[in-house]
Amino acid sequence: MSERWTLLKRNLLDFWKVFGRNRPGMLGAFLLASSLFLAIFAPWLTPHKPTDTMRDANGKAMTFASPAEHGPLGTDDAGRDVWTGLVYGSRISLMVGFVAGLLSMVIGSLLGILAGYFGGWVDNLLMRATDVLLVIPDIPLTLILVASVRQLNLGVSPLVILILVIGLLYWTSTARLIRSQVLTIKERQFVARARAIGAGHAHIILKHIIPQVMPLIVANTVLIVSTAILVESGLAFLGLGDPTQPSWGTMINFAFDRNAITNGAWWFYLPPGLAIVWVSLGCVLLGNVLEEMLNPRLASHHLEDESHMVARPATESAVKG
Amino acid sequence: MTAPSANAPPILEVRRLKKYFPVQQTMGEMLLRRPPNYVKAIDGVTFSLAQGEVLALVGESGCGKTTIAKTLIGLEEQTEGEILFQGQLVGAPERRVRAGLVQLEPTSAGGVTEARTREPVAFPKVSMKRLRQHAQMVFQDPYESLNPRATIFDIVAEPLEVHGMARKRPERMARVKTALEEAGLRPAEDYFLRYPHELSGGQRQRAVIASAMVLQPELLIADEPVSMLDVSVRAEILNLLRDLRRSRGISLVFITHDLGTVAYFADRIAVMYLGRIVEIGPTRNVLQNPQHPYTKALLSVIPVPNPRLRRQRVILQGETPNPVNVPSGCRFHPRCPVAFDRCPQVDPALATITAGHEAACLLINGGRAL
Amino acid sequence: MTVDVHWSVTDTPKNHAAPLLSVRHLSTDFVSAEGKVAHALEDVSFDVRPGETLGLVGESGCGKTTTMMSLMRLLPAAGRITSGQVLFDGKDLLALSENQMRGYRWKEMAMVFQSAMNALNPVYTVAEQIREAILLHGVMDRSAADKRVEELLDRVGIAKTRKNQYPHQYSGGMRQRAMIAMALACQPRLLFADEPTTALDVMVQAQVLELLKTIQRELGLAVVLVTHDLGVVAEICDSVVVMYGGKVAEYGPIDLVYNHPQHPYTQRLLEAFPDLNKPGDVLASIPGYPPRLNALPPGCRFEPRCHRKIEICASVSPKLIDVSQAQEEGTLRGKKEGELSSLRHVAACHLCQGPEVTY
Repeated sequence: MSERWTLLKRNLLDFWKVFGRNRPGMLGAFLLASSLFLAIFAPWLTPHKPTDTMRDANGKAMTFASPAEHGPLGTDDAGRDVWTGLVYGSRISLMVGFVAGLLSMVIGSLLGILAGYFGGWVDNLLMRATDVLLVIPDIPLTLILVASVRQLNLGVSPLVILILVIGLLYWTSTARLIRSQVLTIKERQFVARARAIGAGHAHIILKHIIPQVMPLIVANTVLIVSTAILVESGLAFLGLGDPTQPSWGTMINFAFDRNAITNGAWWFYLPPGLAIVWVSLGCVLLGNVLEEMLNPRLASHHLEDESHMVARPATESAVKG
Repeated sequence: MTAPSANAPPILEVRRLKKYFPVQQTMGEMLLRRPPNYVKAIDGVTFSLAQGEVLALVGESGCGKTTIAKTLIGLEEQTEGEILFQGQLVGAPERRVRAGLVQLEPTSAGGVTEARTREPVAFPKVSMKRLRQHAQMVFQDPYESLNPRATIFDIVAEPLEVHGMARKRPERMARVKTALEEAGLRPAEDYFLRYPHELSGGQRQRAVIASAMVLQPELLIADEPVSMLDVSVRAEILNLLRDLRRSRGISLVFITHDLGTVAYFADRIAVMYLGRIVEIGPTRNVLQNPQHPYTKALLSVIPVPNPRLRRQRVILQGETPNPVNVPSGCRFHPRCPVAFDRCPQVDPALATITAGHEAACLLINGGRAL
Repeated sequence: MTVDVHWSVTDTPKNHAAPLLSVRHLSTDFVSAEGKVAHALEDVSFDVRPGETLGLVGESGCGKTTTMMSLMRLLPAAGRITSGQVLFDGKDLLALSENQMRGYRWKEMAMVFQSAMNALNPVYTVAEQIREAILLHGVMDRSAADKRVEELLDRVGIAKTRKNQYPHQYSGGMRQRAMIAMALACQPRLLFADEPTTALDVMVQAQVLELLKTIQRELGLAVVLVTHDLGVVAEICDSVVVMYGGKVAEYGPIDLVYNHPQHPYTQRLLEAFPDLNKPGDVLASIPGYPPRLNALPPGCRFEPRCHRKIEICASVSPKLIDVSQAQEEGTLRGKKEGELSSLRHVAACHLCQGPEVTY
């Protein structure tokens, strides 16, 4: 209904007022937004295609051309434009990162909510599973899994394998976090009230638990996405990406394999590396700030904290702040 | 005050209610097969509530009054005892039978009795879910009992949603509007889209009451409904409850530690100590002629805003013992100013002082043992 | 098992010439992150004499806790004392440096907090914490401090055998006693008690109040009791300051303020308190809401909710008026001449008649 829409707009505006003043948060948002911009508008940001070979005046392929010779970022060992590769590569890196991150978030949140809400054997089972995964070191496990699955030659794109493996392995921290939050929420009086009214589990989880926990989920998703991007880059660097759809990690892999370092072609490996840092930093800054802001704080008791102004009465709705 | 109808059956009856919480045992205790300890939060409580009556359950922390509230509304399940709503048994004793807490024996007449007491057991006719359509709870903390992310409309409409009533939007809006206006929040539409933090404490408590009233219950259980409000606001809420009682004939179980509020408002008072009712009776009788030593002590120390008042205060030593270690005999005897030799040995039952006024003390009418 | 105690109004401090604590025109602001200023306190003045118990009463948001924090100079970062004087034994505490102020805190003025569970550190034993309070002020060495800890616990009625337990092992009442013991550690002359019994059961509250009164008599302590509970104030206070919206609404000897209240707010507040001895009386409530401290009305702060307002109330802020002469309070006054002679009964209301008070 339209009133809900007004309410939503009001909430977003309130949020924006506080968020806008937070510098690290805004910086993070900017970093992330600019990367997304790059990914979305890739074809408009460069005249070339990633597979085009740059040729010089004589028709010869320009290999390892420096940025001075061919801007803005020079060419790689096969004469392809690095800037183009970077811009199109952002699509891969970000796509894998976001989808894997989302998958992770969904699994982790679901399990965390179930474990926290139901407790008992459900909780035990899930938490022991989490423990097992936590004990085994992340990267080696991921590596082995990805490599093994690829050996199976299932005819699935390597990117899909990456997304699935990362998504299915990195939910544990989210699950832990959400679970502990749910444990707190479960004890709050408004949940007891819902139960006293006669609400069943589904109603309580959907109407009371999830709305309370959602902000934390959102904040955590951003952080998980950062992890996913880093893991993907790492694995791609080790050669487990898709060479036909190079992500930034793959680009660095190529750079190393094809002697960019010995050739002094810093423009080939540095930009992708910096791009990864750029996005990860953005996600982390944004995620941390969101978590701080959205973490539900316990409402303070009006008798204890006198510096809290008394809540304004309904009739003064027009006067804000 | 409106006199409760004398001839109608009581709307609520509680019989020999007990709620014990088991204490987690250590490994050592489990290995040695020691019997588990229990926190005896409610240890045999019986009372009834007439239609349209306000009964106050009064006591200090640890006396079990909040546990009774939770048990009545189904947030906790009783260990023993029966709850009857409008004469019909509430709950699911089958579970307790299965858990081995209640032993049943068949009788020759084809019915079933409880092995220990030989009382016939009626199987419940009213499930907890149905009870909740007729009985609702008002919680203590107006700052915590409302979901901070829900609008007032959602909060008040929630009981309708949970019980599948008023599914169509216009009907739902009408019922929410009525409930809000009855609770004194006018114009109701102004409040629909507000969040709890935009309301003052008194307004929030009104919203809580509105949400309790939206199903038009016959029974309200109010757990310290005004303790967290400023003094100048309390009267509003108390007056609201009083008006609701008058206009709708609602019965009220009013739980509080504040005897002053009770004096203003209740028809009968039940004073609780360590899981039992130690004194019960019409308000005036209990306040002006208390019989149980605990009641007398309590009344003597309640601060009264009158500096000229000189009174003899009976300040008990120590604090209420842990309900895990209930003293033998009369549970109040360690702190009782007038305890004598029989007190640690005999657990007194409620003895009649005058009609409707009872107290559990051996000094009354010779005192009956339990 | 029991103690029969008579509280009577004659238990007032002997007449002392000079007040121990003199608050004059204290004003405090809170500045929010957005730069908005809330005038939490304005022009607060009162006296506390040695051995006197003063009640600072009001509802939430009235400024009573802020007053106490301002006096101890323990305001949070957003708080600023903008004007006034706080004379302790003649010395202005507001003019002292933080270092000098530390010399007063706990040694001369100590505080008992509202929620003992929050104020006591859960990972240290009670004895350790009290000892820390003693040693921090460098008044005695460790073995002397240990002895003092035992003395203090004894004085507040905690068995010596329990001194090495942790706060969570104490009951609520015992924790509050431990807090009192800690406050008394350096023999202060003035004790601030912030809602010391609000979270306690009625019986335990009676125990703690009795303890406070006993200690006060034995040590000649002055006590400032901050609370919203008018009943508690009537039980143990000699004088009372009623605060509303950051200002003093009424101030005077307890007897006069409670039995001849002059300010409409005080009158309504007293009417809102249920009296056990008169069940069934109509309880008053005060409609409306306390003022928003960052958007204060120009006139009297209580005016929007006042049942006796006149035209001038909305535009002109009332000054404190000395109502002692205007009232027929002579009888009581005559009896207590030697004891209450210097404490006037004042109220900030346009309806009051009498000379203006200048502190």
